[in-house]
Amino acid sequence: MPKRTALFAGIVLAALAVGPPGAWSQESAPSVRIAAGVGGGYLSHSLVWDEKTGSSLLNAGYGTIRLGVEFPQKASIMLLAGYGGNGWNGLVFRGLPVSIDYQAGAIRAIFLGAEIELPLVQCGDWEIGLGGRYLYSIGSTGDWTLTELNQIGSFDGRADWMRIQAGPSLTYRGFEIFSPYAAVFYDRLWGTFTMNENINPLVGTEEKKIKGQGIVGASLGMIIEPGDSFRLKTEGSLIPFTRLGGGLALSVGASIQAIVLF
Amino acid sequence: MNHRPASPKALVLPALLAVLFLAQSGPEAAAFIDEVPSYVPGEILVKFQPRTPAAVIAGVFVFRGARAESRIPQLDVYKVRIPEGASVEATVAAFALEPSVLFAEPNFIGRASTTPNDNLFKYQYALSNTGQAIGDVPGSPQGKTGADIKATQGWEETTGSETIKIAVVDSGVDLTHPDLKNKIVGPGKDFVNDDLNASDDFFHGTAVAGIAAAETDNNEGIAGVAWQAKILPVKVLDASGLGTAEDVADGIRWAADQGAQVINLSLGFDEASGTLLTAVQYAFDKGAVLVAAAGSDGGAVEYPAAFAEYVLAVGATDYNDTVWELSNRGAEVDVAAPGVDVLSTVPTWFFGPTVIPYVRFNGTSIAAAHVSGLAALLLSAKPWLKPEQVMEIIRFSADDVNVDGLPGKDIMIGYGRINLEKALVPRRLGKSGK
Repeated sequence: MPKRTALFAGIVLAALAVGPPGAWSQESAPSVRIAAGVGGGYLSHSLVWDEKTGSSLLNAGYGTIRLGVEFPQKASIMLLAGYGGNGWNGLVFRGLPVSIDYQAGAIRAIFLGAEIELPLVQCGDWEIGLGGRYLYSIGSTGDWTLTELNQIGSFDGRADWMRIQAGPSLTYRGFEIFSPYAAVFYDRLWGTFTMNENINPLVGTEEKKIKGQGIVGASLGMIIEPGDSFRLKTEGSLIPFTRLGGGLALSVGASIQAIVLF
Repeated sequence: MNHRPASPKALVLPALLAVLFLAQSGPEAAAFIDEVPSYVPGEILVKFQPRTPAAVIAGVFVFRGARAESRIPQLDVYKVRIPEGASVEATVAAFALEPSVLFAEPNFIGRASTTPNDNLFKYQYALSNTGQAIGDVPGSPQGKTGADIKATQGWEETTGSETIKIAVVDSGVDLTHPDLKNKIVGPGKDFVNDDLNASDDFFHGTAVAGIAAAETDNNEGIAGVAWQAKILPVKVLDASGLGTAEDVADGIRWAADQGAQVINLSLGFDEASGTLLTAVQYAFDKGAVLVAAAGSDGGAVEYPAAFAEYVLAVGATDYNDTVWELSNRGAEVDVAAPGVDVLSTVPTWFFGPTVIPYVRFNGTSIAAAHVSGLAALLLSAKPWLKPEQVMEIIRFSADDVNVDGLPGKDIMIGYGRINLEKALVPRRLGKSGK
């Protein structure tokens, strides 16, 4: 990840972590509450690798458990941990003695992350806020066999990636139970996939650096709050990007979470 | 390994050139240079102005005696069958005069970017075997579709790099041949006459160079296996196709010193020469991939091909993927490539100015040149590969085309007939494990 990007993301997350601004503190402040729940996410994110010599999709799906605290006016910090899989089909390894086109589907992974939400300003039924997310996927090691050559080849590989999203949101609070919202966000996804090849006596290792395409996205979502102690949040997002060969395309994502407040 | 010195005068080419087809006449040669049509005869493509009424469009077709065969609705382009006997050019011109017509044009014929436009490519079954006739006269045998080295598929990945030099250590190379002159890095070196002009006064080296790296996609002649690779001519065989171990060894040494990444050795000695072995070790240690003909007399694998640790030994197959009967055999054979009735370049002086300088050849010399081309392509795509890695990739990616009779590595074609697609194009790694 470029240092500038990391710095920007750090500033945004730090700003979000500082807490609600003064305007909120003048109102009646409920006590801090514990938030716990479950969630899930899916993303189909376009990637480029190796100085834009190729592109493919990362298709990831995961389920998480969530635990955090909610401050007055619904500012919150959540930690999440979960399990899922990352699909890397289309990733091509040309840095191995025998080049490989990965088409072996998903590799299991552990997901860790954090989310911060911070309402900033309320104008009538409209609320402007800031949000930030960090997601880290720790892949397990997969192994595969290549049988089409005159010598059987064995391969093993694993991939880790992380993603930071941060940006403003606009939520409509005029309805009693549900609150639609829209957000734009800065998006950065990066990671590595390390593949080892052994076609005795040919051996090789390639570490492929991957990077998400597109840096700004938009999302639409809905917060459903049938009571004071339960919240359901769904969201869909799009990230436009320019294909390597030209033309616009979209990466997509979706998430859902159910939170109980104590 | 027996390292007895070789006899002063080495046995070289007569057996490697088992058949040289000299029967080309003017008219037959002319058949090699016919042109692929640039557009589909009898039809044109027409697009009308936006919002042209259907009745007007129909009227134009009737007036011109043409018929709309199909339409691409998203583009609003019609494919139009023109009147019987009408010329495409005239009909296009007539449609273009219609005020309602935005454009009219022939239905041009394109081609995949990795299919070269060389006008003799269609005869090169070794590169792309479509079941074409192999000879030029009625009754010529027909190739088996797919019995080729999968060149067009391999070229999807790479057509090579100008940074790769293939040293043709042979009888020299015709430096003026139209399909080679732009591929030659310099006049080379002549170890027979001890000068710096490796012109070919035999013909063999010119044929080998054409197979490996003739100028390709230049609308002329044949395609080489390695489109972009350069040729370094090294003359070690005399005008009779004979050469000494000393000259061959010195030629190999010189090629390696010139930075040749691939050294083609379409020559052979019956005896193992310590001098020759020292030379191939030297070149190998300098990072060169050495490829040698197994021999073309049906006997044992010759040297330097038999120096198994340092040299890829190449046998020959034919247009049906059948082992060539005169291909030498032995445990040292690594792979095979087409070596029967393979079209390649000959020196321009060979037939004289009235006949195009191409002819069909037989022999493991020709087969070896295909493998040298593949080695050049591999090093173009992956210049970091070591010689032994290139050799293993070529071995492991070969097709075991005689699996029915001799499954696995065998003494006839080693691991099999080379396959550019499997050697170059990324292999699909599917769900075979967890």
